[in-house]
Amino acid sequence: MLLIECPWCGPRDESEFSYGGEAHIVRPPEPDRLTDEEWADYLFMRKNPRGRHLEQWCHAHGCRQWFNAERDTVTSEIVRIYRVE
Amino acid sequence: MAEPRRESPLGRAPAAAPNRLIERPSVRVEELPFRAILVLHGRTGRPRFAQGVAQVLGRPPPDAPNTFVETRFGEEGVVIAWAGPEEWFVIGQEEGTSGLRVALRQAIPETDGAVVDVSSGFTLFTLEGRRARDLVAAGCSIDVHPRAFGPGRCAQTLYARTGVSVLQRDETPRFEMMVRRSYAAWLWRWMESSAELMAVE
Repeated sequence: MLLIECPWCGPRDESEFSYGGEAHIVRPPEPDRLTDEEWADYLFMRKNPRGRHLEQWCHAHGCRQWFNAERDTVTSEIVRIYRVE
Repeated sequence: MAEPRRESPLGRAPAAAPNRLIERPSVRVEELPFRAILVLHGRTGRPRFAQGVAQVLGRPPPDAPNTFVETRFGEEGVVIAWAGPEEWFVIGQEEGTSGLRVALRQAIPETDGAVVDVSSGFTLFTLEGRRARDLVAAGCSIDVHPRAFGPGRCAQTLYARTGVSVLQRDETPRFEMMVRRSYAAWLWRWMESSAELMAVE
């Protein structure tokens, strides 16, 4: 079980959070101009690194805020937590 | 026409709680049904929101996460509990007669905040007595030890696998737990059997 530091509520049990996948994915400003391949890449393709990963978490059973975390996918160590700007 | 009859969320499940009171020498749990419960949305940085709230409740909502303040609305004791960076629960007294919602709606311009009545969606329990803290700790992962928690502190968390808000009202200690109404009986049964398992006398 992970202990995750919510930027508002402090350290809370992992069971209070929901995972939101890779962070910093930006919707293309003009989807019409993309090829099918580029669009599919935006929609479906995600990094799956062994090591540091930037990801989104939501304190679903607490303050219901989204935030970002940098987590090591091997050790599950959370290296950094930062707010969504 | 028949008079409308109110049933408390727990009262709908009499089999779960025949006398609707867990009463042991060291812990006592009781439902506080029909309370006025509002969700308040806004930014304390916006003067018209903060001042609107202060005009009705005597003070703006607390900015510090996981804290609540006790205040008054006329004769009525009211709690404003932090629920998120721009969100609070306002818990008053009797739902049927409380003028809280109307007063807050009048005081806060629609462009600066929102007031939503959620009274019928929740119910409250009060947990008090020497071992009330143990009963709170039994169901959630929040550290409720006095060094980490205390009067004026609140938390939204999972208790007995369902979402609750826990408020510590005083040092005796007395806690209040707010839960969605359909979970009232579940929570009640859970607390009853926990009290038994913990050999709470």
